[in-house]
Amino acid sequence: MMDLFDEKAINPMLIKDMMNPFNSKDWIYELKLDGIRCIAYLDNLETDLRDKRNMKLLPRFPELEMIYHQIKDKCILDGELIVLKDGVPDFYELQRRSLLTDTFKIQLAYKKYPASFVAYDIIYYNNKDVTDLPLIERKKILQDVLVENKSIAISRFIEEKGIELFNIADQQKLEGVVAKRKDSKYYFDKRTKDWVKFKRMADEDFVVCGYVKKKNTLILGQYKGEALIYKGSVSFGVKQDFLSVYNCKEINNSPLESTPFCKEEVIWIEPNLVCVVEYMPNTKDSLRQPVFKGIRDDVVPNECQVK
Amino acid sequence: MAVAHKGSISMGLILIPIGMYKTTTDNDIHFNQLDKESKARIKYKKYCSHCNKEVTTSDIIKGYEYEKDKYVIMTDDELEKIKTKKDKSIHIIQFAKMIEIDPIFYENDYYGLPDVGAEKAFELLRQSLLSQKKVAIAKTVIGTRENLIVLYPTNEGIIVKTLFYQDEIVEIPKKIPKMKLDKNELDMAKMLIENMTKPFDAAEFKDEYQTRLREAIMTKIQGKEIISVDNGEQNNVIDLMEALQRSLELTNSSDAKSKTSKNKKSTA
Repeated sequence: MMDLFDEKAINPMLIKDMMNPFNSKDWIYELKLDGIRCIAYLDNLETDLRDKRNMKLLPRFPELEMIYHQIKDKCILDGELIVLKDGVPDFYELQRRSLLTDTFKIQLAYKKYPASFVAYDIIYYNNKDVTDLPLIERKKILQDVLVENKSIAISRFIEEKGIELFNIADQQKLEGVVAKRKDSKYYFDKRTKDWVKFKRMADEDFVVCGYVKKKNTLILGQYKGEALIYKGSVSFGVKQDFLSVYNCKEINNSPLESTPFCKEEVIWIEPNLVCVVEYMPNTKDSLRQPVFKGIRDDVVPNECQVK
Repeated sequence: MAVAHKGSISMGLILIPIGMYKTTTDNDIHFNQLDKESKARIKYKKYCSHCNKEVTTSDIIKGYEYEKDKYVIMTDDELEKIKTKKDKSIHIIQFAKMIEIDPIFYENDYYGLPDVGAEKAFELLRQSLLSQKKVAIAKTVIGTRENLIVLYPTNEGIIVKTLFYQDEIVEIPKKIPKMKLDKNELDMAKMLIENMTKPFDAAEFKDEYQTRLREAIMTKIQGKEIISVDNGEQNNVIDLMEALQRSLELTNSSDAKSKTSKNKKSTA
């Protein structure tokens, strides 16, 4: 019979957005590492890494090919694929890499900034689905099954002190903290109240709809059902050669449902590129001090729905 | 990997949305031209051959040279009118036996992958094609080009193969004369082939010039920059996480201390 391991079609459990940091004895807290969510299928033959869209990641991160040697039994791990630069996860470098296809360029990149996989959960172990076990027990299994090396690590967690951990992460300008209930089960593709994140900066995914050359600005949209709605713009962090780097297809008309007024000339783009934009958290529905963070390959445009 | 093209296979009343992904990557080393002195990139400037002035995109129009130095001008509007209408559907026209398609027609390959939700219909098409050893012949528009394509089932998925049109295939330049062959010669040739036959393994073959070129470049880069000191088995992310754990323990204990010291003496 086909099981989770053979099917290789897992949609990872999702993390509920931003809450104010809190302390609780029923929860554990771990660092939110700024990387690519990654499901690792490991047995005694090979490593198979998949992103949220179930696309294979190993071709672009071949330095992780041998991590299957670090486990004691066939398993499926949930974690984050990260690249460190100056000791902290660097999303830009990671994203630069995930766009490469030239194997030599990839080789040069991983010699300089090797990726690593940080496991924070175990989904399958000993030929069994372990998602019904409480998190804290899954963490124990994870600890037993995995031997760390330079390419694979186990996410460290602390108990109770969520606020303190968030403050330290904040000081070090790390992305934030994920809080998880100790007794939480693993639900595929679900966002529950059991897993939440505290983040320093808010971020959201947008569809790139246009480019204003004069101001070096991207026009951003999100979907409301099937309609693409204007959501704002971002300039900071956008490179001059944006259109050519991401191979944007120019189109004649605005893809937006209602097009905002713009004094400058806008180059409209086929809306098939998703980007992450970081901004200061605020209560209004606005992009405050937005910074372009990068392109997301693991999200399709229609998933960028208005919240 | 970025999707190269999106479309929907239309078969009868069923639509199967798919993404097409490149099956190959260009791994060859490409050099940039640099100025000998400054080492800066060499760039091209376009200029008019008649008056020598530099031109920009807005100064350029399209002409077709139908006779030496005689051009017929085609405006963008005129071209726009006759462009193939954008059509995201991949219309299946017929099915055919795999072996009936001469490989000479194959142009480019793409992996065809179903969009989320379309996996079942896709799998239905793949399995039924594979079991009958047949391919689907379809038409679609990729960019501005109207393409004839073949949907070719494999054990892993469907390969979308674009085909050359009949009129793009050049006829064999010379007819090979039919020769009378000696049975002995033929047997010997066949035996030679038989002896040299083994399963084809693509991994056995490498472009050796490219390999040497890569090695030479790698050595130069490594000589130039000290590759971020090899940490051996050390894992930086563990350091990061444990450093934070430790500093948290420190703040905890100092909190505790300051509290107890406050309790003992009321002055801090």
